[in-house]
Amino acid sequence: MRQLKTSIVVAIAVITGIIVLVGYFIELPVLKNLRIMLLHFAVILIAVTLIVGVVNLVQVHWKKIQNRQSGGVYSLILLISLLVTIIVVGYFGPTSTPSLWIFSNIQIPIASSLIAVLTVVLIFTGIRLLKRGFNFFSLLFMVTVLIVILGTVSFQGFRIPGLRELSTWITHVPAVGGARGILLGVALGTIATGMRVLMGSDRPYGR
Amino acid sequence: MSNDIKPNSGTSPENGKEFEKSGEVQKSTTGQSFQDSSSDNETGQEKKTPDWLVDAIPDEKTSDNVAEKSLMQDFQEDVEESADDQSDREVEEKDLPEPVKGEREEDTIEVQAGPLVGVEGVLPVELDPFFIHEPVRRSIKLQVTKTQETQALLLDQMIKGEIESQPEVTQSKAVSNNILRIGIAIFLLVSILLPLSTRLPVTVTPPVSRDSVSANQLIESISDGATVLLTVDYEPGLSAEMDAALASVVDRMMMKDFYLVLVSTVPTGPVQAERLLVLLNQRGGYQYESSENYTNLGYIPGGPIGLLNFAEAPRQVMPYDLDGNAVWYSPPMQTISSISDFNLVVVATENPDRARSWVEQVQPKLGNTPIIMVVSRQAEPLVRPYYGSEPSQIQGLVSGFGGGAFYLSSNAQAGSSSMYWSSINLALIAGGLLMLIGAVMYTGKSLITRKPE
Amino acid sequence: MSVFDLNNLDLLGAILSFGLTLIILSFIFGDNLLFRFAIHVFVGVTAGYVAVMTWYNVLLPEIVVPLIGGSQAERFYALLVLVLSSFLFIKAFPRLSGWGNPVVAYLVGVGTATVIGGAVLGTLFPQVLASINLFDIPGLFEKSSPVWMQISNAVVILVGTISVLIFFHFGARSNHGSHPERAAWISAVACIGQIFISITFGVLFAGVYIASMTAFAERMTFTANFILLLFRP
Repeated sequence: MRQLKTSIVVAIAVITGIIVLVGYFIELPVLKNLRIMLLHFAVILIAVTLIVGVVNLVQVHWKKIQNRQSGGVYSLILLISLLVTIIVVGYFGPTSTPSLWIFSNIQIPIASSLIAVLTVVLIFTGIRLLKRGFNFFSLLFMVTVLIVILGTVSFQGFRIPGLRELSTWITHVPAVGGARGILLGVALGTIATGMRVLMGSDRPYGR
Repeated sequence: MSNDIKPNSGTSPENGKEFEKSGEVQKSTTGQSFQDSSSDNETGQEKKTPDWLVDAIPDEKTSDNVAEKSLMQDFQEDVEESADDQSDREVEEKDLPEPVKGEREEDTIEVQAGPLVGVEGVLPVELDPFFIHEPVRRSIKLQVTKTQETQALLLDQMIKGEIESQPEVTQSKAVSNNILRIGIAIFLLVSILLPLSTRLPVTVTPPVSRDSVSANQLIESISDGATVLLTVDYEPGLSAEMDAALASVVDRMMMKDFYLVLVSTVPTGPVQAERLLVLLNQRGGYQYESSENYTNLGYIPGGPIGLLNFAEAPRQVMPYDLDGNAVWYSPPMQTISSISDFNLVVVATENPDRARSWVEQVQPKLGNTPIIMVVSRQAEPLVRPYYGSEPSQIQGLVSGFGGGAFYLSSNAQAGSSSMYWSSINLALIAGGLLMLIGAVMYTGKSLITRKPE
Repeated sequence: MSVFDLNNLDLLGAILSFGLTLIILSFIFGDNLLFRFAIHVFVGVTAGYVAVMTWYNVLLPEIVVPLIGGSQAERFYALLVLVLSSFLFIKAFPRLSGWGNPVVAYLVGVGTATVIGGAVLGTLFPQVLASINLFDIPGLFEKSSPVWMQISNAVVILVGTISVLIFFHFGARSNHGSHPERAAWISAVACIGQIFISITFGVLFAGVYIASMTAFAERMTFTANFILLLFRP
C-alpha cells in the first residue's frame, strides 16, 4: 500500500513535469492549454504556501508568547506589526496612502540601513582578507576589487590615466567570460538535478 | 541436547571409545534400564557408583585442548554417521502419524550414559550436519591501503577538531575588532558628510556609459504613447540605488507619455512601483494616474513558474489590477493579448537570479519586443553575458546609480544629484583606501614572517 | 524647508525613519535590544505585506470571486484549487502531512520542468551560440572598435568560459591505489579557470560594495538632512 502511494506521488511529479517540459519544445494547442492550466494551478498553490508560511510564523511566535519563553516580548511586537499591517494595508489597499506611508517610513529605512551596515562589514572583510596569508588568487581578487572601485569614482580635476578603461575592460571581457562559464555551469547543474527529479530518482517531495 | 554427549566424556581414549559407542544409533530397547536405575537411585543411594560413570569422569590431568580436539573429532564422526543413516531410512514419512513423523525406530536410541541411561525411544538431538563444521577463520584485521589509512587519519583529525571546543576569542581580539568596525563607520561617515557640509562638488558626475546611451536610444526609437510592461522587482533594501537608476528610465518614458503596465514578482514590488510613480509625479511635475496613464497589475507569485505562466497567458494570470478593475477590456490594454504585444519591456531588479528568470522564461516569448534591464551593480556581472551576446537577449542595460546619474544630471535635479554623487564617490574611495591599506599591511607582514623560513 | 513646513503625518514618518535608521546602524556597535525590536517590526510588516498581496492578487480573484459569482466551470476549478490547497494546509500537521505529498509532488514536477526548460532554451543554447558568434568575422567589421581588439577580447571570453566550466569538473580516476587526481591537462586548464573566477568574483564583490555604499550614503544623507531640518528656523 505504501509502495502504491509512493508510486502515485512519483507519477504525479513525473507526468506533470513532462507535460510542462515538452511544451517548451513542441507547439500543440492542446498541450499548450493543458500546460497553462497546470502552471496556473501551481501559481495559486504557491500563493497558498505563502499564506501557510505566514500562519506558521504566527503559530511559532504565539506559542512563544503563551509559554513565556525568552524573547516573547519581541514575538509580541512582531505579531502586533503583522496585525497592524494586515489591517491597514488590507482595508485601505496595497497602493493607498497609508500603505505607502508604512512602506516608506518603516520598510525602506530598516531595509536600507541593514544594507548600510553590510557596507561596514564588507570593508572590514576586505581589510582582513589577506590576514591569513596570501596567494596569487586572493591578490588577484583584491586587485580586481580595487581597480573596479577606483574605475567607478571620478574626481574633479584628477584622473588616473587608463584606470577607467582598464576597469571597463575587466568588467566587459574577463568578467563576462567567467560569468558566462558560471551561468553555463549553473544551467548544466540545473538540468542534471532536474532530470533526476523527473526520472523519479530524487524525491524531494517525500514518500 | 544430546544425552549421550558429555563434555568430559571424551577426555581419555577409553572414554572416547565409550563415546563412540554412544554415538551410534541403536535400536531402542525398553526404558526399563533407566527406570530400574532410577528406582535403584531412589532406594539405594549408597549403591556403588556404576562403572560407566567412573569411566565417564574426566581425568583432571588432561589438558583442555586435547579435550576440545577430541570432542571435535567425535562431533565430526557423529555427523558422518548420521548422514549415512539418513539415506538408509525405509519408512516413508508420510505414513507416520503426525506426532511422530519426525521419529522413527531407527532414529531413536537407547541412552548409554547420562541421567537417562537405559531409556529407550529418546530422539537424538543431532545437529544439522551442515552446521557441524569448524567455523571459517576470518581475519579480524581491516584490509586497508596506506593511502586509505592516511586519509582515515586525516578524517579522524578533522572530526576531532570539530568536536573539540574552540578556544574563545580573547576579549582583546573582540575589542579590537569592534574598534576597527566603529573606526570604519566613522571614517565613512566623515567622507559622506564632507561634500554636504562644504557644499563643494568635489567629484563630477560619471561619464555617460555606452550602455545607458543604448538604452536611451532604444526608448527614443519607440513612438509616443506606447504600452510598456514595467517590472519593479527589487527589494526595499537597495531602493536608493535602484530608484535612482529606474527613475531615470521611467522619467524618460513618462516624458514620451508611455502607458505603463506594472507587475512584480516580489510581494512589496507593487507598492515600490507605486511609490516611485508618486515621487516622479512630485519631482518631474507629471500627473500620472492609475487607469489613465498606468495600471498596477500587482504581484505574480511562484518565481519562474509565475513568469512562464504570465508570459504565456498574461490576461488569465492577472485578470484584474490591484484596485479590482478588469483592465484588459479597456484601452489601451485591450490591444494586448500576449506579452509580445507590448512595445517595450523594462525589468528592474537587484537580484541576478530574478534577472535570469526573466531572460529564460519571458524573453523567448517576446519576439521582436525589446527588453531593457535596469540592474544593481551587484547583479550586473551576471546579467552582462545576456546583454553582450549575439544575438543579444537583452537590448538595453542600465546599471546602478552611475547608470542613472546621466539622466539626473540632465534635469533640474542636477545640483542635488551632484552633491549626492560626491558623497558616494568619497565614501567609495575611503572604503577602497582602507581595503588597500589592509591588503598592503597583511601582505607585508606575511612576506616578513616568511623570509626567515 | 523646516520641520514646521511638514504636516503631522510626514513629520511622524520622518521621525520614525530617523529613529529606525539610527537603531539599525547601532548594530555596528554590537547587538542590542532596540535592534532586535526593529528587526521584529520589519519581519512583521514584511509578512503582513506578503499576506495582503497574496490575498489581493491571487486568492481573492482566483478562489473567492469564482466560488461566489463565477460560472459553473469557474466554480469547479475554484473548488478543485480549494481542495488542493487544503491538502497543502494539512502538511502543517505531522500525522496527516503525507496527504499533502501529491500536491507537493505536483509543484515540484512543474517547477523542475520550468527551470529545466528555461535553462536549456534561455541560457544554455543562447550562451553557447553567443560564444561562437564572438568570432563572426563579417560582424566584426561592422563594429567601431578595431578588429584585432575584438578578436583578442573574443579569445579571452572564450578561454574564460571554457576554463571556468572545466574548473567545476571534479571527475577523477584512481591510479592503482594512489590518491585519485584529475588529469594533468584538466588541472592546468582549471587553474586558468580559477584566475577568471577570481576576477569575476572580484567584480561581483566590488558591485556589492558599491550598491551597499549607495544605501549607506543615502541613509547618512537622510539622517544629516533630518538633523539640519530640526535645527532650521
